[in-house]
Formats: sequence, C-alpha cells, structure tokens
Amino acid sequence: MDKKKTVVEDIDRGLYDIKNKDRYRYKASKGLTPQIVLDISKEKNDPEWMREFRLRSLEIYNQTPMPTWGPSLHELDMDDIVTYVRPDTEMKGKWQEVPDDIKDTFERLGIPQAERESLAGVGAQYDSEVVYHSVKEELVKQGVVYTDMESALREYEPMIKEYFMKLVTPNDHKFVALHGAVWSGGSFVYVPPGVQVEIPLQSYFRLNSPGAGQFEHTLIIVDKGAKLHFIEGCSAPKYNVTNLHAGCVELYIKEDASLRYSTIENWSRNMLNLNTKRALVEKNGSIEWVSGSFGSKISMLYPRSILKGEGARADFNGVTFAAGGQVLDTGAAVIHAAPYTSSNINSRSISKGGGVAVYRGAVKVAANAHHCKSLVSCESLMLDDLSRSDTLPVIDIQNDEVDIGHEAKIGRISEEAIFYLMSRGISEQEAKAMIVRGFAEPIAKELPLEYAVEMNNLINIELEGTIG
Amino acid sequence: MEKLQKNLSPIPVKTWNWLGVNSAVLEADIPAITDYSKQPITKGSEKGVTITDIRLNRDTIKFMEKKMDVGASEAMRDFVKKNQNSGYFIEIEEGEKIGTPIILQYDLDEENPTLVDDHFILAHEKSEVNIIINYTSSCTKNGFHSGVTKVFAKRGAVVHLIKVQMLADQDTHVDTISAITDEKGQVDFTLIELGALQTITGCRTQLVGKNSTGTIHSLYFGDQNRKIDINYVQTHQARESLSSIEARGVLLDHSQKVFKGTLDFIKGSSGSKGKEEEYTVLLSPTVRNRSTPLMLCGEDAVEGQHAVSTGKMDENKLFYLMSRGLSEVEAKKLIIEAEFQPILEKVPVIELRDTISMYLRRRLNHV
Amino acid sequence: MAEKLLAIHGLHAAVEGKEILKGLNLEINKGEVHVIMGPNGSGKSTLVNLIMGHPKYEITAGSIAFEGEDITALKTYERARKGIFLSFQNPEEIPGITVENLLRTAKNAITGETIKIMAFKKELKQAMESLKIDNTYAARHVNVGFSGGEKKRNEILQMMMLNPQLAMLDETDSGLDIDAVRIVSSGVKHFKNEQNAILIITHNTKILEQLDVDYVHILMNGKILQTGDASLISQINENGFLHLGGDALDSGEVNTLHG
Repeated sequence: MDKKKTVVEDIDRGLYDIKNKDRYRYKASKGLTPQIVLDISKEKNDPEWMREFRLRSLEIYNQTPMPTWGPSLHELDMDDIVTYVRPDTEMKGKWQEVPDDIKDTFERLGIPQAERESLAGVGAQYDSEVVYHSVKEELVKQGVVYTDMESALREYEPMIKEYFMKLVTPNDHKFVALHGAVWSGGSFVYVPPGVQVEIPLQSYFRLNSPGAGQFEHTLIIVDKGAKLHFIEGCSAPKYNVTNLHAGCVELYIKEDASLRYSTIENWSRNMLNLNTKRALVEKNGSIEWVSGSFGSKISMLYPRSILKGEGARADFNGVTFAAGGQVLDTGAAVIHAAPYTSSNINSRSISKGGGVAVYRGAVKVAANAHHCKSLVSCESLMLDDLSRSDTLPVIDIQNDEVDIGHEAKIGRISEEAIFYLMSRGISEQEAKAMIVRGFAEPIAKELPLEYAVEMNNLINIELEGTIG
Repeated sequence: MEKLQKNLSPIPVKTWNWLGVNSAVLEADIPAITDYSKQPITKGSEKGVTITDIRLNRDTIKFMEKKMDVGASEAMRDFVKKNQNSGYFIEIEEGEKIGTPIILQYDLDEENPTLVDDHFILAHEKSEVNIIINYTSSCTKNGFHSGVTKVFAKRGAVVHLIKVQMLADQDTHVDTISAITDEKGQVDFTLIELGALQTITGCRTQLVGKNSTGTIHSLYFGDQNRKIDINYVQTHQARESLSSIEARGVLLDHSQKVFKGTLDFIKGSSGSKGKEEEYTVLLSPTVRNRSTPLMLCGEDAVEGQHAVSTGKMDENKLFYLMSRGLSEVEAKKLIIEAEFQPILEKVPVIELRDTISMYLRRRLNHV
Repeated sequence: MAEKLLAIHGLHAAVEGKEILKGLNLEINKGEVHVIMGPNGSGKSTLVNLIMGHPKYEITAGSIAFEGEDITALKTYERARKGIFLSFQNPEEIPGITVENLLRTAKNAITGETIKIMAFKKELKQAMESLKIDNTYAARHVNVGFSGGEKKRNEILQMMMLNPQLAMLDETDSGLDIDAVRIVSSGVKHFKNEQNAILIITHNTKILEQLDVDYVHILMNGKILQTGDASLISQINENGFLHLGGDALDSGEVNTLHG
C-alpha cells in the first residue's frame, strides 16, 4: 500500500474559533508585579488571608525555577500575559440575562441546550469570571452547593479556607505558585454526606480575550458516601499571541464517596495549557478521571490521585490527539499511600502531521501501602513519520505485597485491518477513521454520550484530508 | 571529584525530579586509583583474534569512538580514560568464528583494590566471538571498579558479550557498555549484576546498520543494603533493526533498584521492532523498586512494546512446590533459580555458570 | 446459458518479488459452487486475496473480470461494493469497532443507502441466531478475544448480512469442531441461490456435504492442474495430491501436505 502523506496546514475548528470583541470592564496590566496581584485582590474583594496568600504565592513563583523536564516553554513570557480580565457583566443566574455575544458563544458550544437536556447544573466562565451559574432546585434542597469560587469565598469562607490550595500547594511548581497569586473564577462544589447526584454538573471555560491568562480554581468536596459526576469543558478562539491557562483543580473525596471528573479540552492552538489537577481519596472512596486532550499548543497535564485511605481507588482513562504544531505532554500519576488501594490507568495517544504526544506517568507505592494493585496500559498510534510519540512512565514501589503491571505499545494503523474493512466495502479513508475512533473507543465509552459524539467529531475533524 | 559523583547514567529524556530516576548519584568516595597488577587474561589467544594493550591502539580506535555515544556522564568518561589501569583492544579478523570464549577475569584484592578498565572490541565483517568479562573481589573494604567497554560489530559480525559482576559487599561498580552495529551486525549482551554495595551500570547500543540486532539479557540480585542502577538504551537508527531487552531480578532486605530501559526509534528506522520486558520479584517489605521503561518514537512504521510486572512470587507455583514437600524457603529459592535459569544459560562456560549458581545459592541462604 | 460472474485469464502474480501464480485461468458463473484444493503454498490464498485486491500481491500479467468488467485497477472497497466477499483465513482483530457497527457501516457503503436501523437489527438478530452466535457478540469488538471458531462464524455472519454475489471462503472450516462446521455449512447453503456463486478453499469435505459442488479445481504450483466434478474430492482424499503431477515434488511443497 502506498504511504501517502498529506499535511494539513491548519484545520477549521468551526465554532470553537468564533471570536468576540474583547469587551471588558477591568483588565489588569500585562506582566506580574505585587501591585498587579494587589489590584486583582482588591478588584475581587478578597478577605485579608486570601490577599496574603496571593502575595506569598507570588514570592514563591518568583523564587521557583522553570521545570527542568518536559516540553520547552521558552515562548512563555509572563510580561506579555494579562493575568486578569473581568468581562463587562455581572454573574447571572438566568441565561436570558447574559450579554448576547457571550450568550451566543455558549449557545453555539451547546451549553444551555446540554443544561436543559442532561445536566443538573451548569457554570460558564468567560475570561476570568464566571458569567452564569445555575443548579437544579432539588439538589439545592439536598444541600448540594454548586457555585462560582468568588461567591463560595464569601458564603462558605471557613470551608474554603480549610481546603483551598491545601492539596495542591503553591510550593508544588512554578505554575501553581502563579495560580495561587492570580487565580480567578472557577467552581466550588460541595456534596453533603450520602447525597447521590445522579446527573452531571458541568462547568465550561471560555477564554476570549487575546494574550490573556485563565487561572480558574475548581474545588470539589464529595462528603462521606456521596456521589458526583463533574464535567469540565474548555475552549478558546485562536489568536496570534500566546494565551496561558494555569488552572488548578482540587478534589476531596471522603470515605465511601465517589467522583467522576470528565474533561474535554479543546483550547485553541495558541494556548499553553499548564494545568494542575489533584484528588485526595479517603477510605473506600474512588476517583475516576476521564480526559480528552485535543487542543492547545503545549499541554502539561497529569492528574494526580493520592489514595490516602484503605481501599481507595483511582481510575484514569485518557486520550490525547496531537496534530501538527502541538506538543501534548499528558498522563497520570497515582500515589498509593494506604493498604488495599488500587489504580487503573488506561492511556491512548494519537499523533499526526508533526504533532508530539507524550505519555508521562508515575505510580508510586508507599512503604505502608501493602496489598495494593495497579495496572497501567499505554497505547500510541502514529499516523505518519513526521510525528512523535514518547512514553515515559515511572514505577516506584516501596513494599513487597503488591501486584503491579505496566504495558505499553506503539505502532501505526495495521494495513491488514484496513484491507479487512475495505473488503467489506468501506472506503480507505473511512476505514482508517474507524480504526482511529476504535482506538480511542475505550476512553470515549467512559464519556457521557454527547461528549463521546463531540470527541468523535474532533477526531473526524483532525483526520479530514490527512489520510487518504 | 564531586562533579564526578553526580548526574551519572542519565535517562535519555528527563521526567519528574521527585521520582529520583533522572540520574544516579555515586555514594562512595572515589578512591585514589592504584595499579592493577594482575593478569586478567586466563585463556591464550586463538587464531583470528589479536588482544593487545588498548593504549597501543588509541589512534586506531579514535575514529570509531567518535560515532559512539557512551551513556555515562562526560566526567565519568574522562575519568576512565585518564585513570585506566587495565584495558584491551580485542580484534577479530574478517570471517573468523571464534569457538572458545575469550575470558577476562578481574579479581580485586587488598593489593589491587581499584580497577579502571577500558576495552574496545572490534569484530570485522562476518566474524563471531564470545567474550566474557568477570569481576570478582576479595576486598574487605571499599573495592572500586569503573570501566567502559566499547563494541563495534561490523557488517554481519556477531559479538556475544557476557559481563558478570560478583564484587564484594562493600565494593563500588560503575560500568558502561557502548556498542554500534553495521548492516546485519549483531550485539548480544548478557549482563549479570549480583555483587557490590552500589552498582551503576549502563549499556547503549546504536543500531546504525540496516537489519542489525541488539539484544540484552539482564539479571540482577539485590539484598542487604545494595543499590542498583541500570540504564539500557537501544537506539534504532536504521531500517529493519531489531532490539530486545529482557531483565529479571529479585530484591530483598533493604535493597534498592532503579531500572531504566529505553527503546528509541529515530526517524528513518522504518520496519524496526523493539521489545522490552522487566520482571521483578520482591521478597521483603523494605525494598525499593523503581522502573522506568521509556519508549521514544519518531517513526510510524515501527513496532515497539514494553511490559513491566512487579510483585510477590506466584502463589500457585509456591503452593505446587510446597505440595511436593518443599518448605516455603526452599520453594522460593527454587523458583528464583528457575527464574534466572534462562539468563544463566546464556553464559557459555559451564564452570562459570556453576560458579554463579553457587554464588547465588549462597546469597539466597539469607532468604 | 449461465451468466458469467468471474473470469480470470492467464493470471500471474507475485508477492515481494516472488512469483506465486503462474498463468491461472478460472471462470465462475452465477449459481455455481466451486471448490479449490491444493497443497499448502500452492497459491490458493493468494488467488482469493488477489480477487479482493490485497495491496501486498502484485499482478504481473493476466486479467480478472467481474461481470464482464476488468476489476484489477479497482480498490478493495470498490470490489466489495460490486458484490465480492472474502471470508478470511485469519480474520483481523479490530479493537474499538463493534460487530454491529462494522456491519451497519459496511451495509450502508455497499447498498449506497442508509439502512433502517430496526430492520437491520432484526435481520442481524436472525442471522446470528441461525449461526448460533450469542446475541451479545453484536456489541463486542470485531474478532477481539474471539476463539478461532467464533471468528469464522463471524465471517459467515458478515457474508449473510452483506449478501454478496461472489462469496469466497478461505479455509473457513479449518479450526472448527464438527458441530461448528455443520452450522457454517448450513449457513452457506442457506445463502446460496441461482443469482450468486461460491468459491471455497478447503482441506476438508465436511463443509461441502450440504452443498452441490459443481466444479473442483486442483491448484498446484500457481496453476490449475486439473478440474473435475465433485468426484475429484474423494480421489484427492484417498490418494492426496502426489499422484497428480511431478511439479510439486520438484518444489518440495509436498512436504507441507495435509488434507
């Protein structure tokens, strides 16, 4: 079979690329100084402890070196990034009240429709602030809190103070220190003991302002025996300047509680996505990550699960699709810190047209974590020889009562499989697309249906014109 | 000196620092290097082979060395070159198939506590050779070995290199192999790391010629407070090259091990296949076992896979043997021996194989 | 006069530079059942893969016509859409694609129209029942984790659903136990009508018991050495291929005989 290589310059990302006029009420100056941090804090009416926290984080940020590993971040110049943009609107509880252009953007992304059809609550963030938040009445009655972080800071201050950036501390790395200094927006969810939230909650993050950073903070506490599915979606139109996303997600899963955290990330290709996500799981609790990474220019994203209580479990299902010009350095880390804990990591990556997909992972078993089990499976598909695919897992085991397995495979689409499908009347291009979709299927099947469809659409958009 | 002790044996692509796998740190101080005055070659040369002091051949090998990428740190490379107190240039003539293995036996003792060896093996077209380098020691304190072995398999040549390390409990072992293959050349390494307090060892094979092959069979054994750092890299630079890494090991007591294995498919290495497997049995709750199986790929028409499994001994196997009357300890020893057997069988000299088996059995008595 | 479906003339073909077919002629009319027998390595699988358009095989001379049209330049899927079907000797495992999804996509592609989902599901259910395939298999990934026998039955299921004009069965019976052969064989019998044709490669006669075989061809050394009626099968079973000619002896292929 002839190997044909067609490289697509740039693809039409359709509705994701719609730009609105950069309309804002307050925009911080570019770059980062204590004065800017103080200005943001003042603009947001922070309590004093939060203002001090921001300033301390800024100090740590200034002292912390850039990472010595991973993709090159040389093009990131903080002097060019606007850390805070307040859109010209207050937060709304009714969709009709959201300004038209912002509303249109979310309409096109299908957010209100999804809310009507299949979600229990929705939050929408536009640049640095949440512009819309709603949650179904019956959940409120059960004591479920779903609100934006700023409101949470006012209304649930003691709880925020107890949990905010305690799991991911500003000392962790340079970009969480930055996040600690300039964070804005994001969601807070609290599910009281025993409450089962059967329908997902969703937050959607949209970055519209060129050259801006988005630093939303998501804090979720699922109390004892409770259950939640939370969905996060991200996108931005493409500008010729670098945008930075350094969000932070902290998930606390208490005894016997479970949380499923799904993300479809489709940032535009000028975005540096340096996001930090972490879950702390107590006894018999479980965290399930479902992650689809399609967008951004550079991503560094490795959700970390800390299994702190006996019998806690973590699952990670992730698919990464790196096209030309993208370096998607993604993966997962699990710390087994208690006996009888288990984890399962399943990662699929696809690279094409010069894209670079990296799986970076770690499984660490502490000395006391006897009888733990972990299985890691990584598969990479290379669609041409312009692309790269690297697999960089580390396994660190500090006791002997364990059952740990890791396997990885790399290769391209089997020509025999293409022939088999073509012998059933399916065209070559469709056969290849089917195989790629099939490759991502184990992850897609973990997503809610409309997101699985969106993921397949994203794969189809990526494959159009590329193979054939 | 301090520069020498750090950043040893780095992995080809770095990852998180908190895992401590990016490079190794040498814990013992490097002693002053004194002469190694014993004669390591126990078998006489055969027809088709010339073995000469490496210092007499520096000019010959300089050109070949340029292409070779030694995995060790630059500081360590310079150290070996400057301080070498033993070293041979082993040249196998074109088309010669050497039946009897060439054996280099190094034995550290109180008079010769330091060894810095530097070897170059040049196998000309279509030749074949078995070379064994065995390191033992009767030092009671702080014996030190550091060395580099370079291998060049020319077109169609086959080099089997077997390195066995059974140094004494307080010794240090820092060893590097660097190999390069021409078209259809083959380098086949059996690397057995059993002794020394700290072992830092690496092997880097560059498959430069079409249809060339690089294989590594590795065996390690950690007990007491031993620290083992292993770093193997198979670089596929040519079309249709094949590589494999198979490692088996046992860890007990407070031993620590870092195993780094990399399959690197460079763009243009289409049709190449690489496979890596590591299987570790853990026999004590205080061991630390780290594995970093990297796969780097810049070519789509390749097949690469790796698998790592770690855990306790297979309970069904244990149960089966115990049902035949063996005690748990006896059964465990038997299973470990069985696990090691396929790799030990790669040692082509029966006496040495028996010596290793006995050495292992003695060590396993502590189980 | 019978309508001609497939016509192969003077076919020479090579794989990786090695010539496998050396001037093969074969004609198949509608309503006929043809059987090809021959020692391993004689070119049987090469022939059906060539008809299906496998990219590994290269035609060096000769022609393949389907319903009077030369198909040698057509892509595999275009041949499939014309009504050619191959039941693979070693069916591919395709992770992530369900049996039902494959069949629906293929049927849409072949018929050129979007099929009605309920009617399709009903048809699939019936076909699966007739082949004694558990209905949970519709949701399983194509051939992944299937036993050898299940893979072969899945091939026949696809044949029944796609309803081709020419079905080629490449050792569909090998690896099947006696009950499974019977199920497959009755499936094939059920499929057969006056408008289609079947080409069967086999070492075994069990699969043929329920079928009226019209022609038996002996393929050796890349050529059809002998053509006869069904009685040729029992001759081969008694005497093997050895007595048929010396060519095979020269090439050493007799060593791989079985059947």
